[in-house]
Amino acid sequence: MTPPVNPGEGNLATPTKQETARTRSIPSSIHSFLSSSRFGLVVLLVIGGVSLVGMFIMQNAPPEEYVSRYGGFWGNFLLYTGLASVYRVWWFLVLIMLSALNLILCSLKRIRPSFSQAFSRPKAEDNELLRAGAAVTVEADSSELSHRLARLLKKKGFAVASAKSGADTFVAGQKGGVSRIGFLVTHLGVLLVLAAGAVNGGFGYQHQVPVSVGDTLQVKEIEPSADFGVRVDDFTIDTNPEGQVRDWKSSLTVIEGGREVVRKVIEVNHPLTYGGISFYQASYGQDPSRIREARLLIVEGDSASAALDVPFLVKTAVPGTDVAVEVTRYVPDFVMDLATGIVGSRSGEPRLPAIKLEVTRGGQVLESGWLIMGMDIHGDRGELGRFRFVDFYPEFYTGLDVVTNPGLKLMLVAFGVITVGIFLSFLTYYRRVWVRVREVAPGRSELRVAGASSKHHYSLTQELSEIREFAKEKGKGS
Amino acid sequence: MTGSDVPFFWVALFGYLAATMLFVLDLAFPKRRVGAAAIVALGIGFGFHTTALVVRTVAAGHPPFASMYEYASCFSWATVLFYFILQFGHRPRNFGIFVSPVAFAVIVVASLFPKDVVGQLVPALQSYWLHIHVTMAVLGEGAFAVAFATSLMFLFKERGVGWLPPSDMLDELTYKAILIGYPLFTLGALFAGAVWAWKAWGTPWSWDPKEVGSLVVWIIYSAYLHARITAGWRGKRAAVLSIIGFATTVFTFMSNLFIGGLHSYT
Repeated sequence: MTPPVNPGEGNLATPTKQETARTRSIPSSIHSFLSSSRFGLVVLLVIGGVSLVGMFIMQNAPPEEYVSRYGGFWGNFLLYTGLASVYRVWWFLVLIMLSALNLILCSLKRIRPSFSQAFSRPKAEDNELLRAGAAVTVEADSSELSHRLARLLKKKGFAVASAKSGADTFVAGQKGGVSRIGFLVTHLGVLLVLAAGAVNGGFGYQHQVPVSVGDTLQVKEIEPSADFGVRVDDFTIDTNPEGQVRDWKSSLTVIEGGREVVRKVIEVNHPLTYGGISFYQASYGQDPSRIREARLLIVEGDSASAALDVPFLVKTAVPGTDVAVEVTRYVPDFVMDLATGIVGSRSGEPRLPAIKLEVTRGGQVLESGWLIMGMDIHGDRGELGRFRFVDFYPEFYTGLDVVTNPGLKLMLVAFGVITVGIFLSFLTYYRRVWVRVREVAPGRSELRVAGASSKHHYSLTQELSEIREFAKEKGKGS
Repeated sequence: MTGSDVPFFWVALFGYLAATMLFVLDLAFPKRRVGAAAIVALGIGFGFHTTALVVRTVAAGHPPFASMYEYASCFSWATVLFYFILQFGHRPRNFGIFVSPVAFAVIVVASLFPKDVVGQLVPALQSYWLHIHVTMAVLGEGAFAVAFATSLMFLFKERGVGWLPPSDMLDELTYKAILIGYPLFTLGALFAGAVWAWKAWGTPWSWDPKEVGSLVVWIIYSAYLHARITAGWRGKRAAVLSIIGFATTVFTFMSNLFIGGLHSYT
């Protein structure tokens, strides 16, 4: 313990139970080690250090990526030690549990003394600090001066007690006792945060699910106890006048027991919660298996004439002719196996979009084949040669995050508790002030002022000197 | 589109530079009242800086928290704000000579980033939690910056530098600055951040690099407070912890540039 400060000023340390017996049993030594603030500090700093290291290492990636990025030795080292998923590895959780254990033991140890200090009364009596402080002589009547000083302390918000003993009058003041339990409240809050985290980690989940417009997500497949579906009625992307994406939104309908129960348009920051499960607008993308409509150009001789928008899977009559067309398939990144003629997609990205077009007359298929966007692969041969695939309007899917946070309410409570604790500890501070006024002659007093504080010793010094100045001034006046 | 705030910003930058140089001059010629001129220069810079931030808020239609330039600028502004609060509260000698270089360095960092106005916020940022989360976090970090300056002053004082305020005053100024910064940071960076993350991303905590960095910052300042109260670490060791805390704050602030993560903005 570093002593403060000036003579007559003391340090109100956080009280701990006095260790009486020097020879302690092994369990009690372990207990006192685990509950010591030094141990707590070390564990806390180790957690901080490990977390910091984790920032520099790729987390939770597949094992082969570690070997390819960090090399064989270091890659395996990271995987073996758990540094590759450091925030989930068992020894990190053990560190957190040790820290929680320390917090519990350390708080328990301090509950009783802290409460008794917080709610004790000031004691107006002589003490070592008073004896150590410098004495000032003041030209004032001792009882009047002590009255005035008691009033001053009251005005400053102290709880005040006075006592007279022979020629001495003692005035004691105490303030901010409630700050003594602030740290207990904060510790409780931190434990609640950890508990909420454990509940969330143990029982919560987050699944990313792409759902195409018109489809219904059966929540049962994710959470067996939830017997409802979420239908995506629409997905829209809002842009501002400059053409930048402003927002994207999905219209959702909750369907339970065949009935539409809730409708909500969700967007980022505005999820839908139903039955304890939340649906977040996380992402979106183009559906790789279908489009909303394809734009075709109809070729007449050498010149392309009219454009025709053909909805996906809808037989559409070609104006001015007796044929109809239908887009029966779509691939975003066209690839064809030349041996078998099977068409597939290299990727989900629309790099080389293609449609399969069927040309019919009176229900009879005339020709069916693939058109690649922006390419003229059929020349002017056959029925397909009369059409060019020039553009399409994609069908979007919405990327929903299906999430539960069972620890959330507890976490919000914990935040509140910590906030209260921090404000109790920080906005108030505990200090005691003692004054001894000794009558040395009629109308002349010797004044000693002492104080002790848990923190802000510099402010305490100022407060004590204010009291001295006040007394001197009153002395001059009388 | 570069913001119309930028001219004001540059005046602020040079104001802080002028203040730093005047504070040094004041040291060389203590009787010429150069110190007062330095505080005035810092005040003028601060005035222009405030104007720059207001102009930018109006131009962009949202508070200036959407890019590294905007955030760093606010960071520097908050540092000067807490300088003035502590300067007028305690009147420590030669305080500015340590704080103004910090504010100047941070505003120089801000000046290196692109200053284009981000008119269209990405959907995740379109939330009132942006105001709560970032305002409190940046104010907390400004207070930590001042604590860093007073901790440095403390270490210099301990090495026998005579022209600094008494060391117990510096120790307590550090403590006070952290007492201001810690609640702001805890509530703003961590709690408001967690609540917003839950609203926007579905989960309050995802071990994103900036989240981890903020947690480490919080742990270091928590350790500072504990070390001070229960282990009686005052003075040198406390000052060193406060310096490490600020270094981690700066590291966390820059981390998205080289680590990435959910908090990646330009």
